[in-house]
Amino acid sequence: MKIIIIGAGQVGGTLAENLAREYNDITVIDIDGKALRLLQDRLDIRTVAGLGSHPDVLVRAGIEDADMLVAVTNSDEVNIIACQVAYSLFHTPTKIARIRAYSYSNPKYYDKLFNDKHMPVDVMITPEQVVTDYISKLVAQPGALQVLDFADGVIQLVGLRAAKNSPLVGQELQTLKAHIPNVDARVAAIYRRDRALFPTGQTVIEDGDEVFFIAAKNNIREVMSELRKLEKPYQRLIIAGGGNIGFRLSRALEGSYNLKIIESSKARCEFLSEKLDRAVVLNGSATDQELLLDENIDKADVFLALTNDDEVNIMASLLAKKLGTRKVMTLISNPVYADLMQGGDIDIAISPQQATTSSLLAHVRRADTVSVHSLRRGAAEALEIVVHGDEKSSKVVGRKIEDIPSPPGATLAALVRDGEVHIAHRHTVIKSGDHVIVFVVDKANTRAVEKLFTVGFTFF
Amino acid sequence: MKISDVLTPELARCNLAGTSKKRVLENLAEFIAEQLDDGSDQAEALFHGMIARERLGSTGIGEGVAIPHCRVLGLKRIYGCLIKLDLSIDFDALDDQPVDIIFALVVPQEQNDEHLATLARIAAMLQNDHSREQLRACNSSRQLFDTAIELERAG
Repeated sequence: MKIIIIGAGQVGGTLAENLAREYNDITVIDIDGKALRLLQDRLDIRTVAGLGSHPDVLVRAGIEDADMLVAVTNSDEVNIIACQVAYSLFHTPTKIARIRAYSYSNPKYYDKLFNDKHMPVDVMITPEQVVTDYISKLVAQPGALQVLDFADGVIQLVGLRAAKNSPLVGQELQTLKAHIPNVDARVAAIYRRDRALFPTGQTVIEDGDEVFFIAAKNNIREVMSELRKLEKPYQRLIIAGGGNIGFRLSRALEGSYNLKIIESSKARCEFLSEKLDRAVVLNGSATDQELLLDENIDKADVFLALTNDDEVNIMASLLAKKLGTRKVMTLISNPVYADLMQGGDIDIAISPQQATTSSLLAHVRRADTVSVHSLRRGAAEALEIVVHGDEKSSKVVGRKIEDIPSPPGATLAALVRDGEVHIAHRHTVIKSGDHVIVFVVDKANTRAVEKLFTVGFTFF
Repeated sequence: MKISDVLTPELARCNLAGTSKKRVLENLAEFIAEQLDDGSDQAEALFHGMIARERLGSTGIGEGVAIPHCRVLGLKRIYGCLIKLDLSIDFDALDDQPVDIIFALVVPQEQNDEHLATLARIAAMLQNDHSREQLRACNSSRQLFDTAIELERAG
């Protein structure tokens, strides 16, 4: 695919990196020539210096041949105009814009504004919201390392670390059904000492395995209890950093949790106090030991470090952990730091770019892909794909799962048919219109999965 | 329906501008739209229709051949369009080979399934090595049209 990315910042840069790895033809536009050179030094991409909404700049970047435009500059307005120009002058098939201001994305105005008659943005992305949703789901499932929604949330994929003294650890996977006969679930992947195992009914789960399973949302807790001792739901949260993410998360969670938010800027604190109803806003530093002790950090269930500074987040998290908080979740942009810290004192390292990039991958995938989630820092992937065609034009329609030549390392884990969750079994027959959830242990095999689900030429 | 029922000399063309799949489909849509009997401007609808279809799976069937197709609201009949490109383009084809022979088939939205037989005839013709050679050897749009009709008649 030929893709033009406008904006060489964190979002644009990470996106370019991820997409360039997948044999896409990438051109990045930015007004900052230095940022472009830095990107070009390490990636196989083309760059164009200039304002991304200008038609001539877009032409230089090859917009006439591009399949997709992703406008992710800091300016909502530049992003929107770029999409408009791409639509009006160049018929660019897919146009994605980063839009941060709630005033634009407000449902009250959204539908009237964003359509081909007015502002032709096909997909709107708000990285801060993506990250906020991601964290909200983690907070709602204590003990999970990753929680991902499929089919509008009716089905979830959960990653967790199996712990000894839980029912399924030391047992063969096939005993799961006997343990919880009323619940249908499927283990999609197991990582043992960082290596992927391909689970079969005879696989025995060990203490410390990282297990990914899929189940209907309301069965998640029951399945989790098979793999590790269920933790009490979180109640007390302390958030460090009242920026875009900290604020959005506080707003989303203050109704359900006892929540305190620490912010260093006085002016920002005033804004937060005004906009938040129940959260306690504290002016101070996230690494201030006295402050943390005064606020009973030792009684906090989760400490979330969400400032825009990796080092501050890491130090504050380590401090909070030392002072006795139950769990720490830490926003870490630098992938090297994230690898270094995850699993030690930091329970969950959250990569804002990874979450954002995932949400865009669905539009790059072949076949009718609804959503893509990156797992294990981009090494694995879970996809939700809509099935089209008939027995003749599709390689999966009308076939039993056991008869479908699944690419190596790929599991057809579940499907959603007419809003109902069906966990995949050997005899499950795929129908046109099904949403199939596929887990791919190694992203290198994603291409084969795409090919499996694309329709043949006879599909009209 | 036979190929000769859907393809007219005006809709056969040697060379069409564009060096990418997107651009060629865009130009193809415009080219077909110009030839529509009723003069309605369907370029946009044709382009979007073909792009949407390609998203579900490339119509590049291999050996340098693509058969893009779609249904379009308001179309009066089935149209075929045969293009030979001077330079082959990446079409995300099944065999990952670039494409230089394109036979587009566009049908009315409410069309029943009789065009599927036409699609099968087109595919059969273009899957034949000899046919592709003959088409690639054409130097003019008229010759391209005549060759296609002759190939169907002989086949």
